[in-house]
Amino acid sequence: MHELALTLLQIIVIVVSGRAVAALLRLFGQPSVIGEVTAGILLGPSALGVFAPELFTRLFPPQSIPTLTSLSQIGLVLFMFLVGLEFAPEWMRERRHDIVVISHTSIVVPFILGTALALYLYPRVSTPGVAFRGFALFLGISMSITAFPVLARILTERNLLRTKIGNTVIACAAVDDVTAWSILAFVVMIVRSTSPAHFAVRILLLLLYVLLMLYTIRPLLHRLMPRLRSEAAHEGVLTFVLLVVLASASVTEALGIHALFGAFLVGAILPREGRLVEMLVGHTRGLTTILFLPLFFAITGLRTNFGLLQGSVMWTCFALVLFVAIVGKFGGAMISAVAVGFSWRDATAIGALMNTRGLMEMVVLNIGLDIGVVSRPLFTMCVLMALVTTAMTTPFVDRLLHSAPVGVPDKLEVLT
Amino acid sequence: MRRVALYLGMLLLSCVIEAALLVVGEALYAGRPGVTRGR
Repeated sequence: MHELALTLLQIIVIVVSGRAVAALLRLFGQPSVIGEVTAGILLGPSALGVFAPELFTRLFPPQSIPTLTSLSQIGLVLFMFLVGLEFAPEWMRERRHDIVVISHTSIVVPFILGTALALYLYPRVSTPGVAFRGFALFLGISMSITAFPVLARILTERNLLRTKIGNTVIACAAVDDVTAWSILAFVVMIVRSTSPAHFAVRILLLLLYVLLMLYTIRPLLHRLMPRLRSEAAHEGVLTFVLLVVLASASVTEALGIHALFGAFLVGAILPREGRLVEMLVGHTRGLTTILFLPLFFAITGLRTNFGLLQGSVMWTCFALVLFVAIVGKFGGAMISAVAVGFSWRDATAIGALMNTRGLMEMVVLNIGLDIGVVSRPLFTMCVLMALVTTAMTTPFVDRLLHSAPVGVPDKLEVLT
Repeated sequence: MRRVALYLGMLLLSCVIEAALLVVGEALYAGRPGVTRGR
């Protein structure tokens, strides 16, 4: 089949199957991300590759994967920009100290437990040639992730966003996002650096870059605000901001971190006043989340292979990954919430909500696989872990708080 | 002030534990390439 025709067919199959499985699982109260990732796995070597190997090879021949991967990466760059845009510092207005303590404890505890688990997993599932340090740090960060977009949707669906728990959790998740992405940038730089001097230079360049963004690009964007009053200027401003996103993504990629950090940074530093955010989200969200993001889920599915989890050793490793992820994140958030004065019931709900990993975990895992520090078996285990921890959130929270979905505002619908 | 000190203490302690785990792992698996099963 002609290359373009095949790519278009792949996109159609991926989007349709993603929507169908997401709609099916939504009946069971699951967020869309669960359905879309499941669809990606069903299209990959774990399902289609086993039950219809010929169709799988025809639909996803190896030579077609780089095109699909590039498209999904562009989508992911735009998505990370949207995630950055969603970060709203006003969530931190109340209970600021408590939020920082809960958020950071829920990162630190699973991170340390993940590193400890790496002592057992390293000889069993690591890729030859990967240093223990990189492997352990990446496992730590994989355990510490919270999916801010999925969480926002779950809380909104259940009318919990304006409650004390919802308010605390969403602020914790926002702090979690910024902290975890900063740590991840640091970890990627450690893994990719060839010597301590090389690492020091990269850190210095990264700091300079962040300062440049904060003190040059941000004021420049601020100056563009008054122009947004006229509809005619929208296209120009949108073009400028999207070009800044792409430029920032390529700079962070060149600095040896990852393109996604640059995109996230632009979203996070954009001035929040005026209609800029609303206009940008309105223009970028649809295409990104409907067309490009499912491609990322499909790529994740193509990289996931349950066939690699054979034998008791592999399943023991997976059970440990799942156990450590839940105990670290759920337990860490819950204990710290109790420590800052929440009741056990509220603290349990906070722990359960913070344990949602969803899409952000997939992003981290794909970065790990791209830079060669995460092996395919570990990737598969962590994808499965992310699915389980995300899927268990809503039934658990509904039982605990007697909450139920009440409908989702359109604004959050496709970001999750 | 006491809370901030407690928080910073917690962060410092976790950094020490993390560093210790990394040192133990590096010592344990020094010169040993990772093994991948089922690749």
